[in-house]
Amino acid sequence: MSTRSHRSYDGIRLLLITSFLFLLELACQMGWVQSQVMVPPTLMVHTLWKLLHSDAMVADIAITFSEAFQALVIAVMLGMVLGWLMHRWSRLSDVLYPVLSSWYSIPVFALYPMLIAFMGLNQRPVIAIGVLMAFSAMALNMRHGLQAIPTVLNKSARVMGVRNFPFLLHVQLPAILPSLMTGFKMAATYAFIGVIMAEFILSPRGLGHAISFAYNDFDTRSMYALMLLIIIVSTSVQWVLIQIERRVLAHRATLGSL
Amino acid sequence: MAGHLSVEQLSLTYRSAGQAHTHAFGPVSFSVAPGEFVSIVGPSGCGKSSLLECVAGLIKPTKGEVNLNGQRIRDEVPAEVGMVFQQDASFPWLTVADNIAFGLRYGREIISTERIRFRVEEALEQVGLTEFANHYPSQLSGGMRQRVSMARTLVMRPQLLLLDEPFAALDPQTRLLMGEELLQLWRQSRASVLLITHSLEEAVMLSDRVLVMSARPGLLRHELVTGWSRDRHTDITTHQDFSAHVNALWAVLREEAIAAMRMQA
Amino acid sequence: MRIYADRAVAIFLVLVLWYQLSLSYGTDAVAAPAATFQRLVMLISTGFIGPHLNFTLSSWVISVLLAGVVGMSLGLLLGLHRASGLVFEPLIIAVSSLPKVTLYPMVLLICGLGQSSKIAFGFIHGVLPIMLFTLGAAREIPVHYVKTARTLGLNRVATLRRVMLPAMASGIVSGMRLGASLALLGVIIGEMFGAQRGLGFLLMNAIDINDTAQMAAVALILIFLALALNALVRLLIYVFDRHSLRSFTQLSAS
Repeated sequence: MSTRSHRSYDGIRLLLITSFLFLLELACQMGWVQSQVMVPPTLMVHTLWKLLHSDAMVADIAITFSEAFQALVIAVMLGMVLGWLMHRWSRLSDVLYPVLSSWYSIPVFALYPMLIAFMGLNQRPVIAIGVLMAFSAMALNMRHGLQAIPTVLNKSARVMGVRNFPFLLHVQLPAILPSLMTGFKMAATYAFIGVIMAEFILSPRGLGHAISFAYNDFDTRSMYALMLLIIIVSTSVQWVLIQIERRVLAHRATLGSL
Repeated sequence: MAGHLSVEQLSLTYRSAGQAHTHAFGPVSFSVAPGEFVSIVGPSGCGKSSLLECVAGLIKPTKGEVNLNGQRIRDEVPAEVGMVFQQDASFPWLTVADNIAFGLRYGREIISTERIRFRVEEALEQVGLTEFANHYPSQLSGGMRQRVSMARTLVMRPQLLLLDEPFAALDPQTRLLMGEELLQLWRQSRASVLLITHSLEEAVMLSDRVLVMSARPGLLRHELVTGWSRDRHTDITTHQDFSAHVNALWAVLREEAIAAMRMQA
Repeated sequence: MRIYADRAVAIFLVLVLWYQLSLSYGTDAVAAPAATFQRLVMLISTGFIGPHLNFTLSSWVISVLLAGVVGMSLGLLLGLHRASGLVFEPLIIAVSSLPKVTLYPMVLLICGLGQSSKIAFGFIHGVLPIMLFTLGAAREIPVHYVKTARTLGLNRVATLRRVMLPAMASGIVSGMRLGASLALLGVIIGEMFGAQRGLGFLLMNAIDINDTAQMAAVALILIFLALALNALVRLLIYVFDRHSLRSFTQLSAS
C-alpha cells in the first residue's frame, strides 16, 4: 500500500475518532446520557490529569506496569523454549498443540487463589496470571516460525557447512524473526490484559484494582479516567511495537509475511 | 583429481509416516570426470532430487557408495561440493553481498574479512550483480535471485557443482539466458557439474553427457554423449546433431514419462 | 494410536502433579483430585448445578448468536468494501488489544446487574474476533471465483450465497470458534461480579469462602465446556467443508 493512501486512511480514522469523541461530549453535556453512566471525555481527561498527580495512583500504575513487564519477559522466554521444544519433538507437539491452541478459552484466573497459596499475597500471583495468559501465544508463534523455515534454506546452509551455533544464530533466528515479532506483540497484549484482569478481580493493588475500587465507590469520574489511561497505554504500546516490527522486517517481502 | 565423482550401486528406500517402504531410486552407478558437465533427465517422481541429495551428502543412502576424489561421502556435505536448488534459497534478511559472503563467513574455514570482500566482489562481477550488491532479494527478480544463489555457491570454489532444476521456476527466456551464464561460469570455475532438469533441450544444450532415469524406482536407462566442445554456447541448438540428440532422449523418456503419469493417477 | 497413548500419559502426569500439589500445600490451597471429583459428582447428581449451568449457558448462547450476527454482517461489509475495511480494521484490532475487563464497570452501569450485562460481556468478547476473521475471509476470496460466478450468469444474491459464503466458510468458522470461546470467558468473568447465579458466581463464591473443592470442580466444568465447544466446532467444520465443496462443484457442472 502506498504511503499516500496510508496517510489518507489515517486521516479518515482520526476524523472518525474525533467525531465520535465530539458526539460523546455533546451527549454527556446535553444530558442525553445520564451522568451516573457516562462521563464527558473532557472530564475524563481532567480527572486523569489530577489522578496522575496523586502519589497513590502513580504507585498503583507503577505496580501494574512492573507486573506486566515481568510477566511479558517470563512469558516470552518460556514461550520460546516451549515452542522450540515442540518443533524439535513432534510427539510433544502432538500432545501440547491442541491444548495450547485452545488455551485462551481456559479460565486461568480460576487458578489465582491457588497461586496465592503458593506465592503469597503479593505481586507474584498477578505476574503468574499474566504469564499464563501470554506464554501460549509466544510458544505457538515460535513453533510456527521454526516449522515455516523453507527447507531449502536449511539445506543450503548445511551444504555451505554452516552448522550448530552459527546455524542457530545466523539462519534460524533471522528466519523466525517475523513470527517472533507476532508472538511478542500478542504476548505483550495478553500479559497486560492478564495482569489488569487479575488485579481487577482479585488483587488489592494496581491499576485494575483501582478501577474496581472506583466503581464500587460510585466514583465514575475516576473509573473512566483510569479506563482512558489504559486505552492510551495499550494503544501506544501496540503502536510502538508495530513501528519496531516495521523497521526490523523492512526488507522482507518473501519470507514469513504477516 | 579435482571433482571426480563416482557413484556405485546407489539406492534409497525410505518409509514415510505409517506407509509402506518406498523405493525411491536405484541401484544406479555412474561417474562424472573432473570438469565434465553431466545432466540427468527423468520423469516426475523418479527420485532425481533424492539422488542428488544423496550425492551431496544431505541424505544417507540405503545402499551403495558415493566417492568424491576417492573420498567416501557419508552424511556430511564435503567442502568441495556446492549445490543450487530450484526454490529461492537467498536469505531475505541479508543484502546480496551479505548473502554471497554467508558461506565464507559462517562456514567451515576461517577467512579474513579482506579476502571475503575480495571474493564477494569477484563473484558479483561473475554473475553481473555488482550494482545490486546492497539490494535485498525482495527487490530482485526470480532470475536475479537464482544468480545470487549461484554466486553464493561459486564463491566457495566448489569442485563439484550440483544443480537441482535451478531454472525451473523461471520463464523460458530468462532460462535461456541463465543457461548461457551457467556455461560461462562452468568454464571459468573448471568445476564438474551434475545438473537435474526436466527440459531435454536444456540438457542437450548444456551437457557433455546426458543420463536418462526411468520412472520410480529410478534406474539409469540410457546414456547419451553429445560430443560438444567445451567452448559451446546456447546457440549449439542450431548444430545439426542437436535435434537428433533431443529426439533420441525423448524416444526413451516418453515411455518412462507415461509410466510415471500412470503411477500418480 | 501412539498419540492417544501419549495424551493419556500426559493427563496422568497432570493428575499426579495435581495430587502432589494438594499434598504439599494442603487441601486449603489445592483440593485433592479425589475430593474434586466427589464434589463434581455431588453438584451434578443433586441437581444443584442445574440453574447455574442454565444461566451461564443461556447467556453464552445468546451472546454468541448476537456476536455472530453482528460480527459476521459487519465483517462481511467491511471485507467487501475495501476502503471501509482498510479504515476500520486497525481500529478494531486496537480495541481487541484492550483489557476488556476494564469496560465492565461501564457495561454494568448501562445494563444493570441482571443477565443482560452478562450477555453484553460475552458479546463484547466474542464480536471482535468474529468481525476480524470474517473481514479477512471476505477480503481473501479469490477474485476469479467472483468472475467465474459472473460468467456463469449468477446474480448478486446467488453469488453471495453459493460462491462467496462457502469460500469464506473456513475463516468464518475459525472466527466463530475463537469468538465463542472468548464469549464464554466473558460471561464467566461477568458472573464473577454482581451475579446471583451462574458458574462464574459459583466460582467467585467458592473463592470468597475458600472452598477449594468447589473452585476446582467449577473449573473442571468450565474446561469441559471449552473442550465440548472445540469438538462441536470440529464437527461443524466437517459439515461445512464438505458442503462448500459440493456447492461449488455442482455449480461449475451445470
